[in-house]
Formats: sequence, C-alpha cells, structure tokens
Amino acid sequence: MTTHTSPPDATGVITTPRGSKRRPASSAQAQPRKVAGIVALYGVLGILILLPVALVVLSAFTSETPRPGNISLSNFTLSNFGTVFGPGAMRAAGNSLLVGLGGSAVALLCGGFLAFVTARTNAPARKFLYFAGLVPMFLPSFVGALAWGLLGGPNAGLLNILARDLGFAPFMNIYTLPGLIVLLGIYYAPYAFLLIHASFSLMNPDLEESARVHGATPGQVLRRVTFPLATPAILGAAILIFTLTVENFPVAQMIGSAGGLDTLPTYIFRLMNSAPSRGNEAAAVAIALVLVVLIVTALQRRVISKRTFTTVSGKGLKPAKVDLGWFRVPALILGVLYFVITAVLPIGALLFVAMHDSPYVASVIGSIQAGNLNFNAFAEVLTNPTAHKATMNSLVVSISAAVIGTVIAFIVSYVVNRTRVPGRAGLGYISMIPLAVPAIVLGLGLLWTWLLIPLPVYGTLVVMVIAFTAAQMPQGFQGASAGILQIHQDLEDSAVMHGANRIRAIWRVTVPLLRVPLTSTFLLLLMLSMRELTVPLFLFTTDTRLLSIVIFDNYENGILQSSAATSVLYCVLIFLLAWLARRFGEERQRTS
Amino acid sequence: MKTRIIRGIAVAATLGLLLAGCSAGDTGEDSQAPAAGEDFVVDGELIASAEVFEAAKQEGTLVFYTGASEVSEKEVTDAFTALTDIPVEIVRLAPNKLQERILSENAAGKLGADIVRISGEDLIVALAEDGVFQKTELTDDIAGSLIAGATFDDGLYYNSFDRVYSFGYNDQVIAEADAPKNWADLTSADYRSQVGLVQVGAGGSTAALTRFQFDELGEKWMKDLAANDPRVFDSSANLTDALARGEIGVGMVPIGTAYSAILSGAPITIAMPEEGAAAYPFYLGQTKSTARSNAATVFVNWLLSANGQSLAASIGDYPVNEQAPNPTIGDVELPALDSNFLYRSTLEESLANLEADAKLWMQIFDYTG
Repeated sequence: MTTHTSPPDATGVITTPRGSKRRPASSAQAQPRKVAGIVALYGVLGILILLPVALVVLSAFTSETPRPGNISLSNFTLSNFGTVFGPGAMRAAGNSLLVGLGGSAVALLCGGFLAFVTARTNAPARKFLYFAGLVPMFLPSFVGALAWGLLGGPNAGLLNILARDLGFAPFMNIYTLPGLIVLLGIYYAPYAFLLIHASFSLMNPDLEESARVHGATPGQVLRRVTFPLATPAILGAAILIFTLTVENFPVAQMIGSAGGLDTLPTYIFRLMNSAPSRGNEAAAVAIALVLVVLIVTALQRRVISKRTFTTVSGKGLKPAKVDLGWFRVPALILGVLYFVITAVLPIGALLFVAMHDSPYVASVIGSIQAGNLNFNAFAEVLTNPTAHKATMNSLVVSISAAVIGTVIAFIVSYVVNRTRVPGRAGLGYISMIPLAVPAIVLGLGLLWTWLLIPLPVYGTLVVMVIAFTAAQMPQGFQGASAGILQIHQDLEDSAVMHGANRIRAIWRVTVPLLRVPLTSTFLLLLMLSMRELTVPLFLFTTDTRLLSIVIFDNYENGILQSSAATSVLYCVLIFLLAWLARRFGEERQRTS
Repeated sequence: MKTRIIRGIAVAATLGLLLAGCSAGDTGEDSQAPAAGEDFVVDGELIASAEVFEAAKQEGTLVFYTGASEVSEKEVTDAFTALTDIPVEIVRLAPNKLQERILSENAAGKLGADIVRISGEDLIVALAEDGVFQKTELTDDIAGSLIAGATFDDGLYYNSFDRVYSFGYNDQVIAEADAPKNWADLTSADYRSQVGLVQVGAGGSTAALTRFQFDELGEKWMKDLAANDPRVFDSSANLTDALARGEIGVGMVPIGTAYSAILSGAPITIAMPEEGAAAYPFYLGQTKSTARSNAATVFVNWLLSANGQSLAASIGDYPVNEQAPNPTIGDVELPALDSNFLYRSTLEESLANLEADAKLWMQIFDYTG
C-alpha cells in the first residue's frame, strides 16, 4: 500500500476563526481508532469472503480437495491449470465473453433507456415505466429461464405451438447464443435501471442549466453534461452486469446447456459434478475467472478516479425534465414491449403450464377451448408443508441478509470512498471478489469455512444469512458507492465544523442524503437474497430449505408443474416484499 | 407508519401461511407398530428383535441422506414411519453433490446423516474409504433372503435396489407404430435430432448405461448414435422433462424416473429393448457417527426386507430380496431377474472401466468436460 501525505482537510483538524482547535479529534488521537476500525473491517470481510475464497484457491493448487481436517500444504501442483487452457474451457470462455458483452449491452440499453425516460423526461405513464424497469427483479433469473424454456423451445415451446395453431411455422429457438444473450440482458437490466436512475435523479440541475444558458441544445446538454455525469453509474452498472452475466449459472445451465453451449460457470459446474468429481480443476478455472473480473474492476476504478463526478452539493435538487416531443408515445410503447417480454409472457407461460392438466401441450388454443386448465397444481403447493417452511425461511434469511448487507456495504464504501485510512482500497477489492467467484464455487468455499469455524451455525438459518451477506457484498458495495461518490464531502464536513462528531455527521447528513441509493441497495439485496439459488445449494438442510431450492429441486426432479406453480407464487411473494419495502421507504421519506 | 408496517408484515405472513396450508401432523395416523415387548416382524420376516426395536423407538428422528428422488424416498419413509412410529427426515441431493457434502461434514466431525443411500460405485467406495460407514447387522431372515452380491465389505454397505436404465418415447409425438423398439433403432435416420441422452459424467447411472452400451451394443453403435445428432442433457430429470413436453421425441431414461413422470401425466412410453437394459445399484449404509444406531439398523433391515423391497419393485426397480415381487410399472411386469434383460456390472468392473468409458464417450460425442 502506498502511504499518503494527507492534505489539510484530511487531518480532521479544523481551525476556527478564533484559532482554537476543535472536534474532530486530532489525527494522533484518531489514528488508533481508525486502525482498529479498519482491522475490524478486514476481519469481517476476511471471514465472510477471503477465507472461503482462500479454500477454493488452495484447492486449485493441490490435488486434494481441502475439506476440514484434510487441509494439507503438500501435494501442490499446477496441473489443474492445464484444464484452464484445454479446449473445453477455452470454448466456454469464448461463449462467456460473448454472453457477457452481449448481455451487458442489452441490459444497459434496456435499463438505461427506461432510467432516462422515467427520471428525466416527460414521457407518459412514468410510474408504470418505472415499475416496468424493476419488474424483472421480481422474476429470479432461473424462473425467467424456466419460463422462456417453456415459451421458446424449438419443438414444444408454447410460442411455437401457438404459431402452429395459427397456421404459421415455428419461428423461435431460445436454446441458442442470441437467445441466451437476450435473456440474460433483459433479466439483468434492472441493475442498470436502478443504478442509472439513482444517478439521474441525484444530478445537480445547475450544471445542465449553465450549459443551456451558454447556448447548448438539449441534445448537446445530454451528450456533454448529463450522460458524462452519469458515467460512474453507467460504468458501475456495465461492470456489474458484465460480471454477473459471465458468472450466471442457472440461465446458462437451463438455456445454454440445453443447446449445447457451455459457459465458464456451466463448465465449472460440470467439472464439480462429474464422477469422479473434479473440484480442483473447477477451482482452477474459477480462479482464471476471478482474475479477469479483478482486472476489469481495477480498470473501472481507474476510469472513475481520474475525474470528479460530484454533483450533489448543498443546493436544492430538482433536475429539469427533457421534452421528448413526438417520441413520447414510442417511448411508452417500447416500455410496454419490454414489460410484455420480461413479465407478461413468462408469467403467462408459467401459469399455463402449472394449470395445464398434462405436461404435454398439443395446442395452446385447443387446450384453452377444451378447458384443460385447472388450479390443482396451485392447491397442491398451497397445502404443502415443505413450501410453507421454505417460504418462512426465505423471508427470514432475505430480510436479515439485506439489512446486514446494506449496513456493512455502507460502512465499507464510506471508508473506501471518503476516508484516507491506509489500506482502504483493499477493502473495496475484497468486497468485489464474490462477484468474480462463481456462486457454485463460493457456496462450496462457504461450506468448508463454516464447517471449520467452531461456531454452531452450520445447519441453521444463520449460516444462510452469512452466506448471502458474503455473496452479495459486491452489489451492496457498488450500490452504496454510486451514491456516496455523488454526495460532496463538504456537506458532512460542514456538520463536523459546526461541532458534530464524525459519526453523528454521517448519521444526520450523509445517510439521509443517501436515502434513495441506500433504499435501492437494500431493495437490491433483498431481491437478490430472495432469488438466490446457487449459493445455498451446499448449505441447506431439510429444515433450512429456501423457496428457490424447492423450485429448483422440483425442476431437477422433473416435477415441472409443481415447479411452475411454486414459481408463480414465489414471484407474487417477491413482488409483495418489494412493494412493502418501497412503501416503507416512502414513509421514511415523508416523515423525515 | 408502524401500523402500516405491521399491516405489511401481516400480509406477508398471511401469504406465507397460504403458501403453506396446514403443515401440522402428517404422521400420527393409526399406528401399525408392534406392541411393546414384541419382535418387529413384517410379512413373516423378522426385521428387528423386541430389544433393538424398543431402543430404536427411543432414539428420535432418523436423518436420511439420499441421492434418489425425493418423491420416491418420501413414500418409502412414510411407509416406514407408519409401520414403526420412527420419524425419518430426508436430505436429498444429486449423488455427486451429496458425496461432497458427506465428505465435508464427516471431516469436520459434523456428519448429520444416520443413513446414506447413494448411487455410483466411485462415490460409495470413496465414502467407505473415508470411514463414513459402520457395519449394519442384518437379522437372519433378511440376510438369508438377499440376492448374491448385495452385501459389501461384510455389511458395511448394501445394494438396496437396482434401477434400470432404458429409453422411452413421447407417445403424442411418435405414434406407437413408428416408435423405436430396440437400441438399434435409435441410430436410424427416422430419429435424427430427436434422441436425447444424458452426459456420461452425470453419475453412476450414466456410467452404468455407457458400460452396457459399449459392451453390448458396441463402439460402432455409439458412433452411429453420435452421428444421428442427439441432444445431450446434464441430468436425467431434465431429459425426462424435455421428453414429456415433446421437446425431444425419444430419450434414454432410468425407468424409475420416467415412471414417476408418467404417474404425473407425462405421455411417455417406456421401451423394453431386446438387447436388454443397464442396471445400476443404489447403495445403502449406516454412518459410523450415528447416535441412533438401533433405529438405523431397523431402517436398513426394513429397507432390505420383502416389505421394503416391494415398494422399490412397484416403481420399476429390481429388488435385492428374493421374497419381493418382480418389478412392475403400472400393469407392465418387467422381465425376471434371471432373464437376460438386465445387464449388471460388478462394483469392481464398474470402477475398472469408469475412466476409460468416460473418455471414449466424450471423444465420440465431441463433448468437453
């Protein structure tokens, strides 16, 4: 780590006009506390993230899986990395790259467009468009993949059957690379939407106003001021989505593998699940993936650190609306189309399959006319004790993980972006690591870790909360950072100058200003936890099964109808939770 | 604000409850368990002495880790609980994941399982070598009626049934007259791009199937099949699902898996090819770390008894108890054990061929792994 020569404002020493030194404490006093604080943060992130990853790394370099009691520092080998350069991994890596780039482009296009339209334009039905932007969040990607597999299969896809009903030729095959890219893109678009929307709505109107005063056209203002100011959010979203799509396992498995397309995660999954299991080679491939993502993250940080993007200062905020003119209605139509593709069609397909009296559908229209639909599958799920228990487990785990995750993410992000404590950058990098570690590998690392640590949490819901907090640290960190970077340090400092201590200043000034991004972060983590499937796969016991696991189990066991029925109810539950969280956020906004 | 939150929580809780229905009490029906002081005998077979059975009932809930399908295992444990009043909790994972989980838990001294059931010769051997199991003593009745070769390492673990890997077709997509009858038909151009199979590394099941195909049908057949543009799946459940929906017309499936899909309405017809079909065992053992050794012993004895085995037979699995009936799927009775239908490998043969078969298979199907 480099040492910093602190500029005057970083010492925390403020000289008042009368010359007396006041709070915050002098650097000599604060240093031990800061050091203790950062050590504690490293400790927390170390156990949450580094230890599981370290166990995975270790297994990449040995010929034995490092299970508890079986960790040997001998048997070191580099042979596992031979697999990384083998034809299988190379083919998978090529597909992953295409999927990552294509998926991010689709996601940024969809999410960015909706964010801009809802935050900064006079488009009609903006509330609906905002909702449409968020909607894929209520549909976990594996449920989306399940639904689109039902819709877009080349032979038995419902859309193709419907086309046949209407006298057209089957027209779609989702089990292809473009299918995979578009599917991942639309289901990760909400990340772009949320991050970019937050940025657009926090923007200082003065900058745009002054551009206009100096004669810029609306187009020039957008190009030269508005979009550049949103760079951290757009870049953050791009990196996040790129890594998430590259790392996505369930969609790639359900759609890609079925079409003979491997990506790195499905390849890793197959290595781990082959008989005999090749966990060591899987770990080696995973490490290659981690390195790629770390490089991408470092690049992103370089781009952001070159310039300042601070736009929120002490003045009032009310960004001006852009007049869309003739494009108002087409903008709405595009939004509706997106809504139909991401929500209406998949939910419709799940409902249809869950209600159809047999798994085989000869004709969509024929089935509806003949009344071959019933609610039996829903009744079965609703009276199933396993589903009940799983629902409660999912709720408890997700809410706990989202609260804890948001708090830790905010603290870490604050330390990284606002303080000059030596070693702070490392916290940022550690926080981003889980993004690069395929969830399936992280899950295994977490299993080993919590079997090793002599605390009685294994087999309880606590270990799930811990696992989710660790796995979702990158999203929390990105969300909190995007907000913090836009709030000028001066605001907090002026509170300090007026006598508040730093903690109080953060609590009374920074946190309230970050209400929107922090609520978004909480919402994001809540949704992610509700949707998470892969991480808990190694950690659950019968008592701690989550709803996502029950659905995937049913899918894996070929009980597709029950899986579809549970998926529909699962989406309703997720939607309800999100609605509650938003209501809660609005209440806070009104009362504060 | 508080009332709104409380209202919100109430809504969430209601939905949770709705999603649940009543969860209470699925046991506690009329007990069929023998009275105190009596031996536990079912259909004339002694499952446990009165002493062991009494002790077993005091030991609480058995934890059963299994790689077999949860639906069929739930039927088995429900039947056991109805007979004995001993509750059983199932943890179900795909065999490879299950093995990893057991090895990890065992190494940490936190193995949750009392009993393990898993397929895959390499998996069971690795578990046994890791010291996961302890011997289970069978009563003379049970030991006497087991078929030859079902006991391993003097009772450290047992074969608990043989599942059969055959193929089936979607009878809505393919008419009976046009349907493939034998393995040889699958290489015909009529079924080009229509056949689905599961990749060789998926588990003990596909390893057994591959062994059978190389040995009985030959490498050329395998190459012809690969040239017929089949679709390769990652698990047999996914394949069964695609077959049920008509996404593929023909698929290689374990009969037990296909049959449970048929029971839930899938239009699948299972073929009984003349060349035979591959059998693969599900192994069963009680763990060394169990604190419920009596209950575990009762469970293993019952699973291997004619009564326990008839459940396996009823979903098309071949029982290991000579007293149990021939396997059936619905009205169809499968060929007898001593007919030439069933292709079995010994554990040693399976292990010896595992790697070479997998390598050749991947080469033929241009499959990277």
